[in-house]
Order: sequence, then C-alpha cells, then structure tokens
Amino acid sequence: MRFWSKGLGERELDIELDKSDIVKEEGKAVLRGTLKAPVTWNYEVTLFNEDTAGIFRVMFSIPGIVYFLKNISGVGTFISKRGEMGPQPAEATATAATGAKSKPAEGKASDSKAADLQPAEAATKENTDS
Amino acid sequence: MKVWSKGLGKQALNADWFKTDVKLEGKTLLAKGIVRDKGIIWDCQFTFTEEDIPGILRMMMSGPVLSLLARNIMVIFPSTYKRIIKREAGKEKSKKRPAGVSK
Repeated sequence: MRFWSKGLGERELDIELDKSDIVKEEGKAVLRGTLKAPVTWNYEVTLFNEDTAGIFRVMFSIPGIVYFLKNISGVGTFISKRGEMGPQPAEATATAATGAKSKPAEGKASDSKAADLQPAEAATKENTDS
Repeated sequence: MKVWSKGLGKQALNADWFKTDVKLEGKTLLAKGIVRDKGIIWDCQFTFTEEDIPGILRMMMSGPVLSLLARNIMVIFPSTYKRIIKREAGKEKSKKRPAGVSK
C-alpha cells in the first residue's frame, strides 16, 4: 500500500502490509513496520473503532470488489506464502524497540542516513545523489 | 485511521476512509481523501496495487483487525444509511461559489 499526503511532498510511504507487525492495543488494531527501501523509516498505522464503517465502505464498494476480482491471483500468493509473511526477525526487533510509546516524537528508525532527514531534505538528497 | 511515519516528524495524520473517493485505474485501487492533524488539512491518497492483495488479506484476517471489525459490525447499518440514503460518503467537496458572484 502506498500512502501519499501533501505534507510528504513528492514522496510516498510504501507500506508492505504483508511484513507488518499487527497487534491489538487498547481496542485498537496497530500495524507497525519499516517502509520499503530506499527510505527505511518506521511507520505505524492505527485502526480505530470509528474506522470500521470506512473499511467496510471501501471493501464493498464497486471499485473495491472489481479490484479484488482483477487481482484474484493474489489470493493464491497469500495462501502459498502465508507462512513467510509477518515481520522479519530484525524488523520485529526494531519495531519492538521503537514501539508506540516512543512515537512519534522520538521514533528510532534505522541506521540509514536518509531516515534522519525530513521528506523534503531526503528527496533533495536523492536528486543530488542521482 | 491514523498514519504516522518517521518522515512525518511529530505529526500523525488522521484519515477518514468513509470520506474517500475510491477509484479503480487498471489493476490499481486509488482512495483519495483528506488527512487532518491539528488544524492542518491535506489531500492524501492511498494506492493499492496487485502486490498488496496478500498483505491486505493477511491484515484483514489477523486477529486484531478481525476483532475490531467484529466488535463494530453493527456500524454497517447506519453507515449504509449514510452512504445510500444520505449520500454522505466520499471526499468532501469544496463549497461552490454562489451564482452571480465574480472572482
């Protein structure tokens, strides 16, 4: 899943749902993990009770159903790779270390230099590098 | 839904899935909406590609998400009413300028 917001500039957060750590916290469902390279920022997606209506709405919308049917082969991939999914050991450790309590003010991400940059700075750095 | 990443600094963006426009482009699903955080209102977009299907299934079938959906299953009725009768679903549209008012 890719997430873009105006505040991120031209960058998109590339979230690998199949590698996220999904936990239940105080009635909420929390997904944590590390974004796909090149920028290895930690992320956290929190689903609240109030999100249920929106989730059902997208799931049962015509585009949502057609999207699922068009990509039905993904079900086979899900079944065949079910055991391999979930956070990798290193990611799980990093996620546990940077859990919700340390976010968002002091989220300790990876060692990557890009991780310490703000989106605009990171984008500029990439452009310079290339 | 709240999205936070280190790249967002101290901000955690709140997105409302009920207020998104869902569109299909080829095999890609786009959900366009707005995110809010302390007075900030930004456009946002979620993109789901073919490769996301296994991850979505895993997420939807995980205990925490199943439990969340099951506990709130009753919202289907009011939300269907809002969506079909009141037509409140979808991205909020900007208010139109009254007729006869020039720029």
